[in-house]
Amino acid sequence: MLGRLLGGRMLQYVMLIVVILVLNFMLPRAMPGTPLAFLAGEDVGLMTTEQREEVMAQHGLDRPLPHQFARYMGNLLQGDFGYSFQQRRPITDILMERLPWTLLLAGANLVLTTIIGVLVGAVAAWRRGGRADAGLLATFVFMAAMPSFWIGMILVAVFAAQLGWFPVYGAYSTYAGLTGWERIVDIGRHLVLPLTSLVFISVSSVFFTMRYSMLSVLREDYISMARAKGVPERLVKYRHAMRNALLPVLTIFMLNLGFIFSGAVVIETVFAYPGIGRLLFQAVLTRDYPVLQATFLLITMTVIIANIVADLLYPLFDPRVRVR
Amino acid sequence: MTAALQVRNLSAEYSTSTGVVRAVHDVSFELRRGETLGLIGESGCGKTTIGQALLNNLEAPGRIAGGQVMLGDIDLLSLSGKALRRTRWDRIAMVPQSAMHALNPVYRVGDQIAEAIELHTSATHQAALARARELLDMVGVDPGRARDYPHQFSGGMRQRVAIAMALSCEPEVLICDEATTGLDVLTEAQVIGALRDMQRAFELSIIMISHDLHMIGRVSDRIAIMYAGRLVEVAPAEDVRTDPRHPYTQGLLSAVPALTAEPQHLEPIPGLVPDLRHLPPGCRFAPRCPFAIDECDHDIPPLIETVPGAQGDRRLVACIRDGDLVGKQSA
Repeated sequence: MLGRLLGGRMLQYVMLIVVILVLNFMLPRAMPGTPLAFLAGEDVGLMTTEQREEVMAQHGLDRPLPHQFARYMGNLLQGDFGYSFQQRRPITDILMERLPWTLLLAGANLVLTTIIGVLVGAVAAWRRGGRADAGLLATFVFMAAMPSFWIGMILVAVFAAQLGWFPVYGAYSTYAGLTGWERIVDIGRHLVLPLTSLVFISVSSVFFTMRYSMLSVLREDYISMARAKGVPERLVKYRHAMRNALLPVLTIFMLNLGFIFSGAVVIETVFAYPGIGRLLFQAVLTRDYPVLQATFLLITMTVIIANIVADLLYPLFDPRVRVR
Repeated sequence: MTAALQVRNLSAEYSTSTGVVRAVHDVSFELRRGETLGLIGESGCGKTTIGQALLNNLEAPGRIAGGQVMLGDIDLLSLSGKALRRTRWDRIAMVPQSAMHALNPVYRVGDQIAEAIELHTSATHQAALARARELLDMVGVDPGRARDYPHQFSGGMRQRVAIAMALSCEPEVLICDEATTGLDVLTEAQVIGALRDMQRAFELSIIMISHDLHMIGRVSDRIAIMYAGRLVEVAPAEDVRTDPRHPYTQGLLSAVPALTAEPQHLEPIPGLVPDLRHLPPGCRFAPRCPFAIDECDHDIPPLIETVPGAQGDRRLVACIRDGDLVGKQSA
């Protein structure tokens, strides 16, 4: 039954998550230097002995490892990711502040990329070898080959600096005090350039997957059979071909979903967009290890959750994956 | 008695990067009402291309280069668009070689059969589905399995589903393209049994396309033998077995073991099937033919009427030495 299959797979996921939590716990303790240096960074050199001991005790670092692990797990379960000495704030607060922006940017990108990639990919495949197909193929190869920071900089230079149509950086106007509809428009205007850059660099993978998948489906006997049966061309394309060609795209979609928090690092940095990606970049620059550790954990867990969702969704789309 | 299907001068070709390949060349034959006509030949001789061309369903890079496929007084090859969609499957349908690939993997088989019915009649989905279940029952599949997906069926059961799908609009003509190839002998016998039952129930005229001489010999009333894109002989099945006229047919028979006979020496046909891009100028079989004379290389021998065999039915052969060779063939 479905339950047993999923049960077995879920057990694998639980084991995987345990391993990841242990690794994430061991990471700072396996690094050279004391865990204190990991927590407080370069400030450690400025601390007195008493201060050091106080911080160590405060974080339970003077207790045996099993105690430390229990404390770490307890904190995580309560949603406590630790404390950033750099920003002098709890990491959970920092993450919660950043999450919505990345979800907005990367989420919109995921939706747009999938829709555009699927439709344009299908059209290219239906017109295989024609002018439209050749043109689209060249365009998407060009887009795929473009470095993401470069396209971001070009867009900023042209549409923000030269034409002044869109803001140069950020996710909203900081001191404008906008509310209601005006605030939504403001956020939208800030979203246009980073979103465009992101779609620009990520739409090709969906396009190529869809085009290839559609081409191989169109060669299948059941397509020829559908035509023989008297199915009109439009239904052959949408009912018989599209449905099958979408299956590999679902895989790409789920992969992209897993990388929703880490896929926009470069673009968020170029546009100073206050999301998880930029947080990660800043944490690397300032050696804010606790923030890095928390962000990595978040990204890893997202990948695993996306995999679990994919496992649950696949049987709905492909009957062959269902267990009799 | 009029023919169920009349094929006249059918030619089909493929555009390839190295030029146009004519896979079917000037093929004419008739399918009589209620009979089973076997179409036999080696791989690549154009059998499957004929099957698709008869439905006017040849996919690019394939193309029909000429000829007529007359269903009554309608030339199927002259139809296109809506008229073609309406006639096809309604009057002429096909059981494909591998139903595994011919059934859409993401839809239930009942819905796939019902789809054809809905497209050709005014039936509601419920009525069409009910009819699909009846059809499945007729070909020996539990009607409850209409809700199953193609991958849940065994090979033989899948072929039965394909037969049910082909019969969904009660056609007059059924083309079976290697419909039992790849099945084990028992399953093959069952599928052929189901086809025979359906032939009686629906008064079908059937074209059986295969490379399996034994199977074709058992199920066919008449047999058409194909070589390198052309028909070389058309004769009653029994005459083909006992009194083959064309040297290729003779070679084919002596290359296949008989199940009932004593252990015998099998004689392979020497040489290879010609490349369709570099055909000999005259008879295509001449380079491999033990009876070939110089004249065989001059002109393509036409498929013409010859002396009837023991069955008394008319038979055709495309060999200029036909007259000299009667009674001289290797036994």
